[in-house]
Parts: sequence; C-alpha cells; structure tokens
Amino acid sequence: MKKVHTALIFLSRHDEYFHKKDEYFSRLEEKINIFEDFHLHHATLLKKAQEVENLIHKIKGFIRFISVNELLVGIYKSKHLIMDLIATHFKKRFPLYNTMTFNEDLNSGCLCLAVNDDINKHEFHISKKYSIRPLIAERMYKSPSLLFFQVKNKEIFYDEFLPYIFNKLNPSSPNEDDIDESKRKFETYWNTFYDSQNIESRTNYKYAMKNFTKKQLLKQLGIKSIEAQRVYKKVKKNQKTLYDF
Amino acid sequence: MNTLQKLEILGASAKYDLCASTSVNTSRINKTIQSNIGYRAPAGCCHVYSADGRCVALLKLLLTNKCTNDCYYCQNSTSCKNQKGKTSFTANELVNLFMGFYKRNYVEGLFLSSGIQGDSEVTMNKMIDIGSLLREKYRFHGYIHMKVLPGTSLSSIKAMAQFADRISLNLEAPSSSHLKELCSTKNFNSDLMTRIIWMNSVNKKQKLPAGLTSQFIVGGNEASDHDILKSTNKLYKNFDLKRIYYSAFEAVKGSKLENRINTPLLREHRLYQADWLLRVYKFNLGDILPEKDSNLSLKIDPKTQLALNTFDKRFPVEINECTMKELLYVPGIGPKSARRIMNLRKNGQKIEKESTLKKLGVVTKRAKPFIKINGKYFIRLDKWLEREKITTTV
Repeated sequence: MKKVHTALIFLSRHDEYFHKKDEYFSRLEEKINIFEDFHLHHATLLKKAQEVENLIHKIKGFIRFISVNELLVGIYKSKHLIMDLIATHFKKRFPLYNTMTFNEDLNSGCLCLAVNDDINKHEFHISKKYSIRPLIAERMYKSPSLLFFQVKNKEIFYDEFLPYIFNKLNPSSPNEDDIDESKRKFETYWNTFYDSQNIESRTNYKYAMKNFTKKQLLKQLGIKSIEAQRVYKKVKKNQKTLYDF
Repeated sequence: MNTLQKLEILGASAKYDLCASTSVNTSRINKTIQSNIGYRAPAGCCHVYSADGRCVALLKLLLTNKCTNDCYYCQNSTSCKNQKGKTSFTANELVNLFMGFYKRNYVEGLFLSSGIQGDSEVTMNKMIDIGSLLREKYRFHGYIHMKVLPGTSLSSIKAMAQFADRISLNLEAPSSSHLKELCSTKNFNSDLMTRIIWMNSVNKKQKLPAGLTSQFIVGGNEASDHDILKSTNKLYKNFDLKRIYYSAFEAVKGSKLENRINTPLLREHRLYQADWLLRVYKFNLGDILPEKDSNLSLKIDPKTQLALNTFDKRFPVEINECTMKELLYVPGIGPKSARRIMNLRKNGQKIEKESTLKKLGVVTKRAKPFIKINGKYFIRLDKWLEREKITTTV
C-alpha cells in the first residue's frame, strides 16, 4: 500500500492527469476516488509514477548551479509539477545557502532560504509580472523557508526577477563579470576532469546514449565525433526522449 | 604547475580505480552533527556519464602520482618509461577545488587515492588531513571514499574510517603468486591481506556507512576466473566486503607489461554477472565456479550455463507450484519477478498464460525451455538451443 501511495503522489505531478496548479496535495483524495478500480490500472500507474520519479532523479544529478555569494541558482526543464521535490533535495544538501531552482517549461520554481535566514526579514514584493509566496505545505510554519514563485515568461525571470532576488538577499552582490568568470573557471575545470576520466579503449556510445540526449552527448563529447551521431540515429529510434536541461 | 594541469594529470591517473556507487546506509550516519554543506542519500545520484557509458558521480583524484612502488601495469610505477609530469595537490588546493565542484552540483562526493610518496604512513596521514579538513572545518556531510594504502598501520586505518564513508584496498590479484606477476614491491600477505583483516575489524566497530570494497585486475597474469571467484567469495563471506570490482587488464604504454594482450571486456562482464549471482541471488559458490584453471564461458552467461548443466536435476519447474529458490534458478527470472510471482500466488491467483509472465517482468524468451505452466511445456531444450544458436554440450 505504501508503494501505491507514493505512486499516487508522483502521479499527481503528471501533467496529463492534473492541472498546472500548486495545490496538488489537497486534491490527492479526489484522485484516489477516481481510481476506485485501482488494481486494474496498477501496473500502468506504477509505470507512469516511475517515469516521473526517474525524471526527478535525473534532474537532481544534471542540474548545475551558478554561485553568487550565498545564493545558488539552477535552471532545468520539466513538464511535471516537481518544483518542491527538487528544491527540498537541495535544501537538505545546502542548508547554509539560499538555493533557487527554476523550471523553464512551467515558468515557475522554488526559492529556498538558508537555515539561518528569516523570511520575515525580507518583504517580497509581488507584481503583475511575478508572484512569490510560501508553499502550501509550509504555510503552517511561522517562518516558512520554501517559497514558490511564478513568472510570466522566461525573459522576465532573467531580466527582472533574478536581479530583484539578488539584491534582496545579497545587498553587496558582486558584478556580473565576476560571476561569469567563476562560472567559466569551473566549467573549464570540469571539462578537463571529465576528459581525463574517459578510457578510450572502452568507448561505448550506445551505452552512453541510454542516459544522454543527443544535445547533452554532443555537448560533452564535442560535435567532431561523427561516429557518435551515427550510432545515435540507430539507437534513438526506439527510445523515449528525455527533456534537455 | 597550475591547478588545471594537476587536475588533468591526477584525474587521468585515477581513472582505472572503480567506484560508481555513492549509496550509503543512512542508519549508520551520525545525524546529530550539524552540517554546513552536503547530504548523503540512500540512493546515489549520477551527475554525468562518460563516453564509455559509465556514471561519473565522484571527483576521482590522486593526491599525488609520485610513487615508490613498482606495479608493472601502472603508469605511475617506477619502472614505467612513459611517465607524465609528477605533481601533487596541497590539501587546501584540493579541498577548495572539491568544494567548488560540490557547491555547483557537479559531483556527489570525493574519491581520494594516492601514489605512495616515500613512506605509506606519511602519505596516508596527508589523506587523513584532507578528510578532517573537510569534515571538521568545512563541516562537509557528503560522501567520501578513500583508499587504504598498502603497508599502513592499524591506527591510521582507524583514523581514516572516522572521516570516510567507504574505505577500500585494491587486492589486484587473488593470491600471492599471482600478485608477483604484477608487482615486485607489494607483498600479498603482509601488505594487503593483513590490511583487509584490519579494515574488517575497524568496520565492525565503527560501522562505515558504505562499507568496504576491493578491486581485482582481470587478465595480465595467470589468474583464472576460478581463482578470482574463489577469492571473491572468501572476501564476501569472511571479511564482510560490500562489493568487489573487476577491471579488465589494459596494457599501458611504456610499462613492463606493455606487450601483454588486453583482456576482452566480455570476460569482465561475465565476472560481474557471476558476482551478482553470489551477492544478490545468494547462490553457492559451487554452483557457478568454473573448473580449476579455467574461465567462465564467454558465449553463455553464468546463470544459463548453470541451468544447462543441471537441466536433468532441476528443470522444467512448475511455475504455479515451485518454491522461491527454484524460481531463482530459472534464467530470465530475477529476484524481482520471482517475488511478484510468489505474491500473486499468495493472493490465490494462478498463472495461466505466457503473457502474464511477461507482464510480471519475466524474460520469457530465455525462460521458455526451463518452465512449464500447469503441466504444459513450451519448447524442447534442443530446439531452443538450435534457435538461439547456442552450441554446448549439455
């Protein structure tokens, strides 16, 4: 029964079955009533739930943060309502950092305040273009640390919302050049390390493609490898596509 | 030498050390310690996949590639002619680099190994310093995997176990005579086996969250799969190792074994399959052990081989009546699908069709000749062998 319960929770995040609102917990009971003949759909439901679960797992690994003082910003894409699950993972991981994860597909995300930070210190301004409020599950706490935000479109997030949060949380935030430089520095570090780990005699694109999309693979391995593209075409025919991050 | 160059050289030197898993037993983690950064999960997380398809979850580095040991297969050994520049990380440099990566979610944890610079005790202490720096100064609460160096003392293994989630020591070969073919300076019993015994005793007291592991080189010496599997079983049974990794031998340019033939990757794969049967299926060693001085078959996987060898004794099994253990011996039925079949039977339902088995996750293509449903056979063994193009003497 426990497994069925988790399946339902994940299912409620599946956009096919649910409206794109953040009030999914309250609707969970309705969902259970819908599936009275649950045992009939058992396998398919579990499979669907597993899909969402796998996507969450993948995003947790593939998301990369840009660090600005004590704020970490990460961008990903997903059509499911999983913003809070991603955010709570990084809340546990970086308790002393403010983390912001933004879902580009749904134009919404979560801002997670650090343990020693108090929400009552900041008064978040809500405009027509964006809204920010504590997550429903967190409203009972005096100082909720998980905030849900929604913006009108991507451009507003990058041009207005992100700088606004920067200034709100770090009054003395560094200029953009510094951020870019540290980002580039770690990107080159990472690429060097990544290349050094490859054992050439074991190269196996077919296996690598189980977990990568074409975009990611070419980004990691370089477009030069024509062989990779050739194998990709063969393998990809029968495979489901994952979302690019 | 700058950090980038060091990263390139010391990263490449560590690439043959295997350690994909980052999962830990969370009940063994001290939860009262307040952490500044880091989190260990029961299920690990992959952050990128390399071109060979393996997951890169850990920042895998050597502390130094200066080494006084002479292992013939290794690029850092004293006898290797084709050596890259010799460098080492300082503690602060490595820790800053790692924290930078971790903060940006590039890696799940740290894997630290080292060449032996001068005395192994001195190098070991440097590694322990890095562990304490991460855990105490930065209050890092994530995953750390450290290598125990051959020839270190019990006290330093104890110290290392305080900071690391998993400690490991590469045995490389199953016995003393086999190790001599690979290395002139390491003594199998005094340098390696004693440390494994000590590691086991440390693990019993301190309860490492991710346990102990070891690694074998497959090929490059005379050791057969028979020897390796026997040694593997001993390590699992007597020393409570969590996992054994196998690495197919690959000739490094300029090393003493440069002219040896590379081991086919399939042999490594078959060993992993046999290892899985030991660890997860809990088969007896005698079931899968090949004859003395011989290897596992490259054509057939170990489980099918076992099924063919014992066909008259065990098969075909009746799906609706047999026990869990009998089900597990059928090729194409794993622990998960076996449990599903048992659950279905507990609920009073019976399996009637082949399609039901498929839904439960059974690979019927492989299971067909070994099962019957309500007394009905699917295919005769010899016909199946012909169709699958398997040529063996049963």
